[in-house]
Amino acid sequence: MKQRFKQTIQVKLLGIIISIVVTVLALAFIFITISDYQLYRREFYQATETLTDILTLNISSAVIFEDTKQTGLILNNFSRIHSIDRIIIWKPDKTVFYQYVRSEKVSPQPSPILTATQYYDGDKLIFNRPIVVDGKTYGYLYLESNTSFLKNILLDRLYFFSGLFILLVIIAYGLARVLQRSITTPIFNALHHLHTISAQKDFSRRLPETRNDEFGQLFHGINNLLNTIQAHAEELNYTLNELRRSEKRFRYIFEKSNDAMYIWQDNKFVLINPRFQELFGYTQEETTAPDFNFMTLVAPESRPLIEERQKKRARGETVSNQVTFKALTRDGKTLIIASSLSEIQWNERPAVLGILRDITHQVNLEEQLRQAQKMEAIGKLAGGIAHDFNNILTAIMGHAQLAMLCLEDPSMLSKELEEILKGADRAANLTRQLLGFSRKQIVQLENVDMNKIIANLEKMLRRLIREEISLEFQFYGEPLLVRADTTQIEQILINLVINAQDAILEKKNTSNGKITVRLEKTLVSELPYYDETAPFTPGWFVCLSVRDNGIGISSEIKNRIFEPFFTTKPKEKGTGLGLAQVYGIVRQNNGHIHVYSEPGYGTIFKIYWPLLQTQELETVKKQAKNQIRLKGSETILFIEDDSGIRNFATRILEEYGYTVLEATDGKHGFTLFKENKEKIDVVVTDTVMPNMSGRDLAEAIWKIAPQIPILFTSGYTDEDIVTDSVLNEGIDFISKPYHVEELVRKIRYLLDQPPQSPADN
Amino acid sequence: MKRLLFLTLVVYYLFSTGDRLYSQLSEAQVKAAFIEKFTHFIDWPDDSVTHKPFVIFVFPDSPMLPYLKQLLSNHRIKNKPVEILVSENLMLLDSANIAIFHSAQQNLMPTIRSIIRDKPILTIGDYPGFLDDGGILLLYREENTIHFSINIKALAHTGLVVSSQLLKLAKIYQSDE
Repeated sequence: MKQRFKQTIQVKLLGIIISIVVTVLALAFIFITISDYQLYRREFYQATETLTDILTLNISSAVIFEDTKQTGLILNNFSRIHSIDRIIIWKPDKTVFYQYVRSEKVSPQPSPILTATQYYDGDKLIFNRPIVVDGKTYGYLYLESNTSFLKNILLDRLYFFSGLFILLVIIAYGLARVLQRSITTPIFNALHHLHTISAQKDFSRRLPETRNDEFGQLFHGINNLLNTIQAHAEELNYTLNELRRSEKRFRYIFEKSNDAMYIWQDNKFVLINPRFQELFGYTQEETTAPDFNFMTLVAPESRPLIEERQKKRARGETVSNQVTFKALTRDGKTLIIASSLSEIQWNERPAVLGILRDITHQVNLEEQLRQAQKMEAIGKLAGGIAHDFNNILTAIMGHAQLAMLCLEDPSMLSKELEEILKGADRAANLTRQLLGFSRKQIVQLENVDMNKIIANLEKMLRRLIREEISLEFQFYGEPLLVRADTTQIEQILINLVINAQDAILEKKNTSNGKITVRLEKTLVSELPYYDETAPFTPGWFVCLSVRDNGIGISSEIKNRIFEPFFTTKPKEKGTGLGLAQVYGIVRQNNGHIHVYSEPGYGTIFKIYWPLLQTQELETVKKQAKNQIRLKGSETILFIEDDSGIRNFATRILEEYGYTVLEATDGKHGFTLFKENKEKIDVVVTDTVMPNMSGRDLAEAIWKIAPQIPILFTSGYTDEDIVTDSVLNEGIDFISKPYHVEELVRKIRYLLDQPPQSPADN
Repeated sequence: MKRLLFLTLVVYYLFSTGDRLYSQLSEAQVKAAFIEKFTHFIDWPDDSVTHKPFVIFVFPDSPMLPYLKQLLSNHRIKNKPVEILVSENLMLLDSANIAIFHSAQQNLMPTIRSIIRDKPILTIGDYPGFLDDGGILLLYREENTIHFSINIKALAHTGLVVSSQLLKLAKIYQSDE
């Protein structure tokens, strides 16, 4: 750039100087040449005229005396004058007196001219003069001269001037080169400075103001300008830096954002961020192509919504800046997108900044959370109902049993009483299931081998299932130790297998019906679904799966199958509590349940139960040795605020030979204990009582008699003796409503145990 | 007829050039013509006096006399009427501008020279030795052409001014003296 400019200005200056020199010289030379030519021509004319006149005069005597010799002598002298081609002396009678011809090449002899005349005939200058002496004409002198030598002179002059011209131009060029430096040097110096300033962006540099001429003034002016530019540059630099930082921040946010972002302008994308590409699977080039349709990104079910918004916007109506819609990715995946739109200026024109957040997972989680909360609420409700209901049922059942015992003629009312007991059993079963779902069921956790539990159940399950449906068990090759309540495992499996059978039966064609129960050990690192109510720890799990090839579960009801009282079965066939109970039990045992179903093809339930370590197997073996006799003569302190239960229980226990001390609440119970502590062998207490809770009572008793066994009873489980509905270690419990035999068995078991302090546990 | 025409043309051609023309004229005729032409190249002191005639003195026996009369009668020289003075009286020479002599007057030359000494009279003769006799202009024949010679010395004191052109044509005579 610099070099080009340098050449240009130098060339321009040289061009100007040389042009002026050339023009002046050319004009001068042309002028001089023309002037000289004119002068030569004029002088030649005058000289020729003079020569003619002189010759006329000088020749006159020779002509008068007709002295041809003398005439020849005179005229032949003209051979030395090359311009004279011909001289003719005519006599008055037009005869030629004498003729001088320079060479043979000259033109033919002219006709005689008998007048005084002069004229140009082409290159020839012709003079014709009469030879007059004393008024008498003795002849005419014709002189013909050739002016071509003038051209030669002109040509010579041209050569000379050309040489001179070239020489002068060379000299002028040399001088111009020297002189132009006085102009260009300060310009180039200034340019060098300005280039340096421009290249280094160093506006603090200044041009040297050492000259006192116009350049000095110019540099001073430029320096003043640089002062202003420097101030502006600093300001601009600051602004630019701010802008860059701002842009960088924007760019960082734009590119690192977890939300998809885009700029929409002129009905097309102009920019999308990496997250957008990642989310939708389209590249920047594809989305910004003019033919890319925004609707490609919208799932068919949301298109009417988006189109309606577009129409409203086109009509000028106000449209919310936020909208949630279903989007479609390149690979056909449907996402739930929450979009937020802002009107912005992009490249100084209106545009829309869109922020798209993938809330699919969040929506799913919310749905699951809602489901979990719903289940929790239902569970609490069910648990609450079951508590009071159990007390009522305990009284009903107890008194019905007593009534049967009291009958002198069992045939009279035994059938009715049995129906009462049967109904009470069904009701008790219902409340147990409710409690199972609400995770308020009291469980006694033991270390058990899942293989064995299922194997023990196999025979019973085969009896439950229709013959045309094949039931297959696949056990695991080694013990699968879990901490669980055996009864609950059994409940789970029975419920699932019966449900599987129902699903197959619903399919009409049951000939190929098959249920597979499978046990396996599996390592689970993360759950395939979300459940905020179940903290998950990765590790080894026992996976109990029940697979059927039945009717399957549609996606619409899949989320509701674990709800209590939700059933697709006919009214008389299902209570809607089976799967709810399974769900409750699994969750109560820190297990996880997962269902997968293909409508029309079948369903598989998978229950993940935390696997125990091998050393815990020993406990399992010990528990298998329990052998209990029911009757006894020990003294029992029975504390129960519900008089119905208290009465029937007392009577039952007395029937089995035991001595029963009754107390109506905890305080009363403790007083009785203190009074009879030597006699009392076992304490049976309700957990929720006025004045003193079962727990407080137990602690008080254990303080004075640590070895005394205490059996807790409850229709509910929100007491201190349980933590998260699981009975604390060393605490014995029987849930209401209980059968007489169950109560007696439990008491006998406690009495037969070796004395043991709770502190030992 | 054709031959006659051809001869006529040849004759005309021969007569059409100057030298040939002179050659066809008599010597006296040419000399007479020369005398008239000399007056154009010689100035006399009284040329400005136009009321006096231009006098040419000729001896009666001069062969040129008839031609002079033929050529110069009613003629003006130097803007003066020409008077041809035909006489043998030498005393009349004094008034003449030109005096013409021939060989018959050779013996009279000393007398004549004494009469016209230093007077503006152009003496013209045509016999050899005329210039030796003190004459000014001699007409002579050479190679069939009439030439003339001028005695510069004789001319010197006469007051006549002879044109250089005439002198250029003339053969200049230098006496031995």
